[in-house]
Amino acid sequence: MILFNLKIAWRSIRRNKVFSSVNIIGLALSMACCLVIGLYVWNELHYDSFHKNYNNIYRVTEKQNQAGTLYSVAVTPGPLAPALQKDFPEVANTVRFGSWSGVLKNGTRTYEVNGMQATDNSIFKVFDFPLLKGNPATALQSPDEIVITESIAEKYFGKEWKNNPALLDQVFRFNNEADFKLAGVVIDPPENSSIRFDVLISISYLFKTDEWSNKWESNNYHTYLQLKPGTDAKAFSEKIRDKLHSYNTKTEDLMVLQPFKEQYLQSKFDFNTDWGKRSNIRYINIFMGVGLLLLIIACVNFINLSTARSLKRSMEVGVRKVNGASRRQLVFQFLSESILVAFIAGVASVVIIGASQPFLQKLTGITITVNFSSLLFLSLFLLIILITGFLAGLYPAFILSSFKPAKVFKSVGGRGVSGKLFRQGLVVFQFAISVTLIICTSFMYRQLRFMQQKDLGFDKEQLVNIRLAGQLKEKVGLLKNDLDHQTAIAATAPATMSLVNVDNSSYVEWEGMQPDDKFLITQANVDPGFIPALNLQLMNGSNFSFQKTNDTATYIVNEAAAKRMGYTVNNAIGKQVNFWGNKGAIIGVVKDFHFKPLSTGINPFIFRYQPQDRYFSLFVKTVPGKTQEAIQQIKKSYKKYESEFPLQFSFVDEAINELYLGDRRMATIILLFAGLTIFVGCLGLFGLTVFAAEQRIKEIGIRKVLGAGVASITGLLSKDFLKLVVIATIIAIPAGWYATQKWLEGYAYRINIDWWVFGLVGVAVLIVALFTISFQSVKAALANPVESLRTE
Amino acid sequence: MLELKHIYKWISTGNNRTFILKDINLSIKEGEFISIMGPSGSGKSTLLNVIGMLDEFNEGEYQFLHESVHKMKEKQRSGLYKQYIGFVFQAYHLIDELTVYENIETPLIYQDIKGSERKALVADMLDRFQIVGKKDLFPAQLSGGQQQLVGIARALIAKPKLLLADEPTGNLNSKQGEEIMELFKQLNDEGVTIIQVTHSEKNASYGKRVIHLLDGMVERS
Repeated sequence: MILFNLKIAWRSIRRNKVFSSVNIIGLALSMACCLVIGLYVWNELHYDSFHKNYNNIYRVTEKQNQAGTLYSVAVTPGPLAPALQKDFPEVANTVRFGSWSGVLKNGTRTYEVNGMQATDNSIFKVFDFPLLKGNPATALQSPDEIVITESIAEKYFGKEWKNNPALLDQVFRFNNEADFKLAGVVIDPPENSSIRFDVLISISYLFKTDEWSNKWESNNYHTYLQLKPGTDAKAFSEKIRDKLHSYNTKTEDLMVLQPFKEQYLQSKFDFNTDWGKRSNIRYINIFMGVGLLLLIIACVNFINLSTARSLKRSMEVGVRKVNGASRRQLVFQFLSESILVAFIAGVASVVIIGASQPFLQKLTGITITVNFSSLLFLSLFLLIILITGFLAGLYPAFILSSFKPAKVFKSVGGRGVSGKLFRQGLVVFQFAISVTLIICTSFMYRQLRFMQQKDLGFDKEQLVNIRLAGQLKEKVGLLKNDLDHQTAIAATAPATMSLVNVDNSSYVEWEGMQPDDKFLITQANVDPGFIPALNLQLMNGSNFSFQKTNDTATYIVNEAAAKRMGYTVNNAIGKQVNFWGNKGAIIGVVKDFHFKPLSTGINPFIFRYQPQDRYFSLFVKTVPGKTQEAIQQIKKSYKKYESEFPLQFSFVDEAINELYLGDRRMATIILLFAGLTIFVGCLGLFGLTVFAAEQRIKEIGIRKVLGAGVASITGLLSKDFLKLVVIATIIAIPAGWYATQKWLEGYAYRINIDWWVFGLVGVAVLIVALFTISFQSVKAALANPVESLRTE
Repeated sequence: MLELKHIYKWISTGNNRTFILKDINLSIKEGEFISIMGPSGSGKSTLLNVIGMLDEFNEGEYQFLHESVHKMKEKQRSGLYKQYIGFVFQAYHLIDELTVYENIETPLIYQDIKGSERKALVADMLDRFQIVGKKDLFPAQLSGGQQQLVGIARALIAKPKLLLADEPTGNLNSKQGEEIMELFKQLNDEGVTIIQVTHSEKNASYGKRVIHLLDGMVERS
């Protein structure tokens, strides 16, 4: 029976080429999307699951109340982990991670290592990061031990590092400060690990050398707890919630347990205290929603075309019924047909995925590895085929199988166009979704362009940021002096920030401050060259001066800071400020500038000029058109003063654009989806016009014989469908407006929702739909009426 | 074999009833060959559909093999006609996607008959109608007469007691029509009860009894 059904289904698919190809192409595209999304979502949801203790690992995070605002902080004090292990029997093990970076030298090879984590030996017990060399029971116990990943091992010791008998105990010099013995080589953290590292150093080294690491007042580490099996994590979380106070009476901070399995998708922490690989559950939800929508649209095509074709098939149903088919058997037959179509589409979708994989990766920045033979892929594949087959086939199957033979035979070529309203509703539904998505993408792109073009309050063009390393942090003047004399360089200015998403804030005291009116102010140490070099607008007062230095501190604040302290731009000058124990006067107020992404507003900012402190960056303004030359000059000068650390620099405008990479990718992906939905929708529209033309072939013939022109017949056929697209657009406008509104709420600086965009999108969609429809209508209108009238 | 008593069928348009069948009384015995004649719109096809249980009637009693059809539910009725009745149509109504062989096989599949048995039955039928050579062709590749042969073969495959034919030769030329009528006669001689609707006096004369319909009523029989 099944074979029999499939055979008929196959022939039916082949006989109706237009119908089948429209169905299959639409379904294949949507299924390809769904499969990719499915794999992506599965992968995202199973991050970190390769750890055996995955379900028992928790991270201790803090809720801090600062000046009335509750902040989430991912870092905790160094002594917390051992204290919790000692005091709470529920804790089986603890691991701490401290993010570090520096230069590692082994023999003649020196590399800057960014992914350096200071950690405990227990990492090898709690997590599943197996050692390829070395002893997991002892590695990293002694403060002078280091463990590197296989790729780092390859970098230092070549491809044959495994065969090097003297590999362990190799010595790495760290930042020219201390020597570390190689205690092991660990596998590279898998792609789906949210914990990332290149090099692990023993955390006890930091406890020996870094005074802050031992203090309860300083939060530097991620603390992971492995709870004993059977522990009620929720109760335990409640239990330790306010225990921080018992270790450090000065703090009111609270502890919150974050399940390790939520770390990848649901981490949202302030002050850049979280590190590692993170994503956002929001993306997962958007992807799943859009993927599902796309699949539904393709199914709607199938339903639409099947029911439109019901007239043709009703005869077959009648014959089958008369020949003894029960309704159940017919439903089964039609379902086999739709599942077969879904299966063919599924196979086609695999081809589509294969062909578009590299392209997708570039477009979305998401690495999607599709292992076609994996159990996951196959089960997802079958699941999607079955769901699609049923979703698409069920309604037509019930409609078609309900025909009464006597009625069918009586109305040979008659009306029987049941469910027209339903079909029209489905078309409206499809296009409403497409138009909504297109409206959203239009505004997303406009917002992105707006953010790229917005005046940030400083001049980000031709601005290079050199990262200072080694002795240059203290002696930036040497490099600065050298560069100032170069022809391709217009100005230079050192600073302690990158200007891109600055997040270095502290408390400040000011003249006229109410007790307890604390707030966090972002700060940077600069020199007098900074404000002119970056073209910041000094609204009142004066800039720092190279002459006046050490005697008393001076400060320049931004408008937001002046306002927050209760001053105006005019009366702020001369007010006393106490920042980090240095009392001094405000000597200038600068116009607000954006030091954070435009999703955030402008917060108070304070500049200080303390040349005796370290700097971390040197900003270099290059002469327009001489960028390459300037880079060469920078390279040359840098080498003169710093040979240990390789030069690292970036262009500020590029780095700022980088901030919006996530937004750009999201927009690209939604655009892709919008394009797909409109394409699939048009496919369906095309199929429907084909059938409408077929159904009305006689009418068209008669009209032509009576003298109707091509234009009037094209109009006759197109009008009905265009009407539906117009209705869909009208529905989509408020939906698109609402979604855009919601999305724009995430940006402190945003575009207006201009009405002409809606109009433009509506007209564009209408043109695309008109084109699709007229393709078939014109063909029908041009047909020779003799042909169509002869058929009877 | 079957008996119709006071069968009425009508369509209500506003307050008026337009009668399609009016007080039909008919008794048909096993082995009969009946021709129903009458002008267009006289209710011939409707009567045939009522007998074939494809169409319902508004009033009256219908006994088929001593069972009361008018008291049955849809499902029982379709079970009954599946088992005992074969249909032949003017427009053949073969399934375009199926070959000759498969078209004939279809009723057997719906009756859940085993594959090997189906094969034997279909082979017999192909033999008997001398269309073995055409078994892998699709309907579109056959002439009208050949298509109707397949239609009859399909109607007979499940060994019905009653064969209902609605103008079986309507779309055929006279020679083909004659062949089909000869076939009907032969089938009737073998014991199949046949009721056919026809316009042609000549075809009607193959029947042992002719019923004349006019405006939904039996004019003479």
